[in-house]
Amino acid sequence: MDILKPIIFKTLLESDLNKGDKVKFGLIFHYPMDDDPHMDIRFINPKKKNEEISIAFMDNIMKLGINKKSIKVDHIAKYNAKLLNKMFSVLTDKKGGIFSALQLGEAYIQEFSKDKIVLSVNSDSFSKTPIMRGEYIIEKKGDSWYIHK
Amino acid sequence: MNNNLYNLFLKYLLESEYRTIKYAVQFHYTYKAKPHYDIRIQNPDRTSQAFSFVTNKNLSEINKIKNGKLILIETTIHDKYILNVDKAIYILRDEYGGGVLAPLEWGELELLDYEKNKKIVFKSDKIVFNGVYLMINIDKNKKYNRRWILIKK
Repeated sequence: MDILKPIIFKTLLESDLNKGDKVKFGLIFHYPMDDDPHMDIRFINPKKKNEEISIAFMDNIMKLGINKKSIKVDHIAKYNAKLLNKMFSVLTDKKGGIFSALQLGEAYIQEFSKDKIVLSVNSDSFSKTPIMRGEYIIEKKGDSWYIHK
Repeated sequence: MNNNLYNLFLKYLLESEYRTIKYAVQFHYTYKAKPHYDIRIQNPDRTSQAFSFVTNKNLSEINKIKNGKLILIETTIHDKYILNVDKAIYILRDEYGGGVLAPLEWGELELLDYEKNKKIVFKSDKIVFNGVYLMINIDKNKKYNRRWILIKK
């Protein structure tokens, strides 16, 4: 599994997603071997056989919707691997580090353009009270990407 | 079995009690406090209990440099079941530790040395802990929130 080679997006059109797509979704804490630990919102592209999109950020997602309007995204990238298909809880890879799922479920692409994606998250196989639920907007402002609820 | 052999065997059994202990490293995203790592180490003297230590620093830094150091704060003693968390647990916002507890690594440590309330020396070959680590209590006179220094050897 090649989980180490991200292809960083400049625009979301490189992802080939469409409005209405139902995607396998995960909120993952990633503890890499050679980088700083961070969170990933990941989802599998339903149209590509082997593609997973990852939205990486350092901030505390628990604070979204409480006292934070938005959190800054570190990068958006795609991987030629379907990590989520292999994840049940924790996945350890000697090159990639530790991936710990905080939430696994499904989401819908509500809106989609080159600089904006709206994800509607409505399920979690772990908990009746998922961390992420409802609509999340990931959009580009200037040169940076932000997530807000 | 002759007496010498029996004594040797007895000595081995007594020493082996400290040979391996359970541990767990968890990442705790909370509503109220800063996100932090929880390091749980089974109490070698009372195996039904687990010591808990927290740090909100980047735990991975300790492995990047030789003799890397990190301050840990000892918190409340937990039941041993905290060592067996193998998938994320959601804790309601108003409860103690409200947020999400995500397991990173768990299993057994090789306990190389242990002095109650003073030091813990252990070895592990996993990812978060990979090598030999020394933990020293630097607040021996305090009862609560004692600081320990974690050093990678």
